[in-house]
Amino acid sequence: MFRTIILLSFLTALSGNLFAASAEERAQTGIDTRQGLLKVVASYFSPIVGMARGQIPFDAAVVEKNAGKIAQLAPMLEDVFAMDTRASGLQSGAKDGIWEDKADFNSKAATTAERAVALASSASQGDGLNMKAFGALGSSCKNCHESYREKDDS
Amino acid sequence: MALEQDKSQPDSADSLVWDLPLRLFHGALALSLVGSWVTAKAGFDWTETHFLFGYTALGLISFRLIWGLLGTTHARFHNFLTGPKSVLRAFGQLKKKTQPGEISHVGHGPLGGWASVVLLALAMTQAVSGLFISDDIFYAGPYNSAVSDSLADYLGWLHHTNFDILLAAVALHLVAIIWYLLGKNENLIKPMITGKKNIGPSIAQSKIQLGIHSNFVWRGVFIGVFVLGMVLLLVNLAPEPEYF
Repeated sequence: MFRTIILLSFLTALSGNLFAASAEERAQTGIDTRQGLLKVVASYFSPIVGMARGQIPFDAAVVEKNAGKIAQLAPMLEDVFAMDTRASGLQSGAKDGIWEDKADFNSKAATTAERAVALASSASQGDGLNMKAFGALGSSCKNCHESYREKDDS
Repeated sequence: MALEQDKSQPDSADSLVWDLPLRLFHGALALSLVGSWVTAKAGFDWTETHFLFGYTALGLISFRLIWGLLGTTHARFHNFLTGPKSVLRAFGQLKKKTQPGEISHVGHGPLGGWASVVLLALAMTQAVSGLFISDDIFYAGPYNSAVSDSLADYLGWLHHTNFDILLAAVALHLVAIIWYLLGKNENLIKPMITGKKNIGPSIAQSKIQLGIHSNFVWRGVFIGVFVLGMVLLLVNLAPEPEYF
């Protein structure tokens, strides 16, 4: 009996620690996931930026494919930012405003998706990179970063 | 170079105080700051022009730092950076009207001297931080990939915060010139354009109370070419951006 109590209390204490650790781990996983998604978005956008700057040759198929992928990825921003990590104390570049004004954050992500669709369809029409559509897509990214991405080292 | 002053200059004529390279530097830096500001506000397709203004400012500031050591008398830092006592005294004299035909200082006064160094430091901070930062989307400075993301983010914050401080410092600079013109009755603008001041009857004992005899144009050209080469080297040695 006595041994069982010791064992149980030991297990309880241990599980308490385990759960505490797992809350932080969960938050860290959430941060890694959303940062990963944005890195994937950037990896599709980067070649289009290179084409816009004339540093790599224009390739309509790549623009259409990559802009299409961005249109698929942008709606996932709402999902990966659903977990509120403010209380975790973990460092990330996410501003509190994301969870204070979720509707605005989500609508900005939706704008990015719409403009990515527009860029993809302009690429399929075959007259080079549509700089207006490109600028509109990039500006939608920038607009959201200005509101919701911390630019100092925190 | 040992004797830059001309002790035999006539008392009534205007004396050269600000050499031509210094005046060109001043005008070009003002233009490149305005150009940087406008192109930063004008949207992403002006970013490459913004970079060019930034490189220009970087070169101009480097020129001025060298000119502060090797330039003409009133351009040299050690001739106008003074201790706290004379700075405090200069604050007290800000209210005093300058009598007609007189001037407060031949070159920089203690306040103007320090102000010019502060402006240079702020502009330098702005130009250097810009080399390392990125807007996340369209553009990255030439050395963005050379630093960690967190350092680049910090420098990005600095680039934006320091700009506001620089803007305030430039505003103060302009207010001071207007105060000299209207409050103290002393025109500092004209000498910065023509280079000349009427120093008046000279009882000068030291060269900082005298005009200069030469613009040092060739020395200015030489340092200018050197600085241009350094900036071109800096920009061209930057790692190539990759798009994948």
